[in-house]
Amino acid sequence: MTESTFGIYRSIIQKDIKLAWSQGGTGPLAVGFFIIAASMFPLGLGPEPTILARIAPSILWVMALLACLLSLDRMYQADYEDGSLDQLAFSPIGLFGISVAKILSHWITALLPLVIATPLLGLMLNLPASGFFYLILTFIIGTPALSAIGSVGASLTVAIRRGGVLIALLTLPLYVPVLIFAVGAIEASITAVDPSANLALLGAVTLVSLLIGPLASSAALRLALE
Amino acid sequence: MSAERGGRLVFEGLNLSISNSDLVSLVGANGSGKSTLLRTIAGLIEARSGSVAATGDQFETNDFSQSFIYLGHEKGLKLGLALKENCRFWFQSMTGHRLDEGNYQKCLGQLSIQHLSEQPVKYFSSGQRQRSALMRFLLLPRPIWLMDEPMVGLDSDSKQVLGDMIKRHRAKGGAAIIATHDALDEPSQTLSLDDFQPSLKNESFWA
Repeated sequence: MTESTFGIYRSIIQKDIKLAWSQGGTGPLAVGFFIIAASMFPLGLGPEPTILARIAPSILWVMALLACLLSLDRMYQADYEDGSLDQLAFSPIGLFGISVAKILSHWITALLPLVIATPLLGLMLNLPASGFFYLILTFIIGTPALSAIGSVGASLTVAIRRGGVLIALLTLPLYVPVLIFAVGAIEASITAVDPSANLALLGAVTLVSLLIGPLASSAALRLALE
Repeated sequence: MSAERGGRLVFEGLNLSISNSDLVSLVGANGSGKSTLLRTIAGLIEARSGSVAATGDQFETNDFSQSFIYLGHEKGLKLGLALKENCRFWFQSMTGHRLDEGNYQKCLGQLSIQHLSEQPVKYFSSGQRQRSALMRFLLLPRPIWLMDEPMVGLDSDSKQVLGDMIKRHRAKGGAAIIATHDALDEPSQTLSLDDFQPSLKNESFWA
């Protein structure tokens, strides 16, 4: 990668981070939802530490999926509506590069804060101590797939007003493998079974998503520009 | 060339050739396809038939798609960011290099919007936003300017500035294709899209 290509990626990511964490951005929204929604479970279930411990991994992962969905509908739409996407289409890195940059910046702005917040929520949900390492590890390995798959849904619905529900219908089924393998790995570690098979499959899902995500997103964006 | 949008044939049989220092004025009724033509030339829309091609030494070394600066109806300005940040991010996403401060100040001066540099774009009037969008044409030298209604919202002084910008661009050998309802200074061609309306419309066919 030449220095100027790197500069282009850096500027797009910097701009998105700045916008996502400024007034009305999606960054604080996603992590705020994640923390509040996950804290509802101890309140709703009452003082039952054993039940909480049993369902903590799946609560955290399902809430992460939903928090990610919240942030997806503005991923490309804001740029599409104000004409920025037209300008980005002229960038030398092309729409494929734009998708890669957008997936990266989405992960940094919306999902990295979730990764940082999970240990705290794990404590609140009484997650067994042996599960913490794998909780964080599955979040680090699995969340890039959420951005990449979500990018496809976001780019397909970019021209649709109120497309958020449609994004949920498109992407949630595709998130199922991430959910299964991630929760599987955490539960395996808690019950002292080797979690490496689940981890390897989770990694495979992420790698495939990272490959297909930008390709499909750029094709969908190309259609949306017409 | 012909192009369609939303399944409707917008124009057909269109042929346009431009060379250095040309200024093409695109005119035509609302919906006649001025914006569609500009977006097709820019490569944002694929033509239904025909193609856009460039010849010349400069296009052999540089990618043709990197020869344009485009201004559409939507300005592509981020309302929450200051004008300077908008320009900085745009420039860097086009070139990968940092925006030169001296060049930036010079361009601001040409459009007389120095006082707006640090303000968020959301507080700008529509004319000020239009002038901010025109900054792009000054910041980055590219041979072909594609402008869609650049006069909208501009006061008479700014129209004068825009006219001067285009004159200097042509003097350097650049070309511009401008869709507008206003008169332009000395266009070398005027292309009326009303002349290229599809001859067989669905309505007339079924009538």
